[in-house]
Amino acid sequence: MNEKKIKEVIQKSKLETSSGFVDTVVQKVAARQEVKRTVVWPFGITFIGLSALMLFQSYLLYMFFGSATSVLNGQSSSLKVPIFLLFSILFLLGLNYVIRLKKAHQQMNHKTYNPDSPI
Amino acid sequence: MKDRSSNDIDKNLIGKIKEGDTNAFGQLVEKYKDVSLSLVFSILKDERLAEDVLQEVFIKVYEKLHQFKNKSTFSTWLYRIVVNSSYNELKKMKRFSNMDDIARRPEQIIEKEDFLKEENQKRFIHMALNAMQNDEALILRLFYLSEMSIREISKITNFSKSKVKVCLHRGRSNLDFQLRQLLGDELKYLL
Repeated sequence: MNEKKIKEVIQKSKLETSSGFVDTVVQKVAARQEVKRTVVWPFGITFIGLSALMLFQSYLLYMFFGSATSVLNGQSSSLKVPIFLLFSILFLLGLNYVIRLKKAHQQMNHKTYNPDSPI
Repeated sequence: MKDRSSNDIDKNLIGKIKEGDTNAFGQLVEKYKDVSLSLVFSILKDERLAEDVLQEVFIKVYEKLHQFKNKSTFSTWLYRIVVNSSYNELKKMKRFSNMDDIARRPEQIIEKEDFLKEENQKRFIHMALNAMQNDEALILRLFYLSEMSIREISKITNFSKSKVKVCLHRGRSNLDFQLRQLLGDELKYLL
């Protein structure tokens, strides 16, 4: 076969995507952008909030119970437990929220990439 | 080999996409989807899987478009992603199954009397290309279908220019051989 015929043969081998291919891709792209907008932003905010909470908790624990000149030094230590519990519960709630966000992100991501599932 | 106006259209569309125009992205997908599908198919040899892989490729392209700096043409950049993603998918598939079985899966028998029908000619051509090495079929399609130069094909595939030339030469001979095997004397009626 000559060069021209080979070119014709190869050009004839061009495949065509199924109908609706472009719409599906565009919908998936839009869905992924939505995932980023709704999940990634709160994830960042929650992470910063939790870090700030941890720092604040450490500061309070140090101020109230840590140093020799602490506020509660020599006074009743009955406040120790509730304060510690309060911050621990807040921290755990925050952590739980982060885990739920991560799960939601994974589910939406999977949904976006699954070619058989509707958007 | 690609004309300048095509590159200008791409640049214009990319500019719009970067501003958030998803319709422009749709136009870009429309322009490249069929050739890209043919390239993925050259490597994976499974049309349905090729389409799924191609969907993910276009999503990746959209997300990475800000990294495209016009150092090469958009088509070269796109086809590089297409080829890399296809080879990655092929590696994944090879871990779980024997690729040769998939690649050499027997196609539906076509009677030679029906050969003159356009659709059947296409199927014989696919059978011949599927019987060839992935690299050869890919390079033939990049050269004749995407109209890429040897230098561009070398960039896309990461093969040296001499390897591209060798694959192209072997590809031509093998395509001729495979078509002769399939069609015999009927080859002269092809196209």
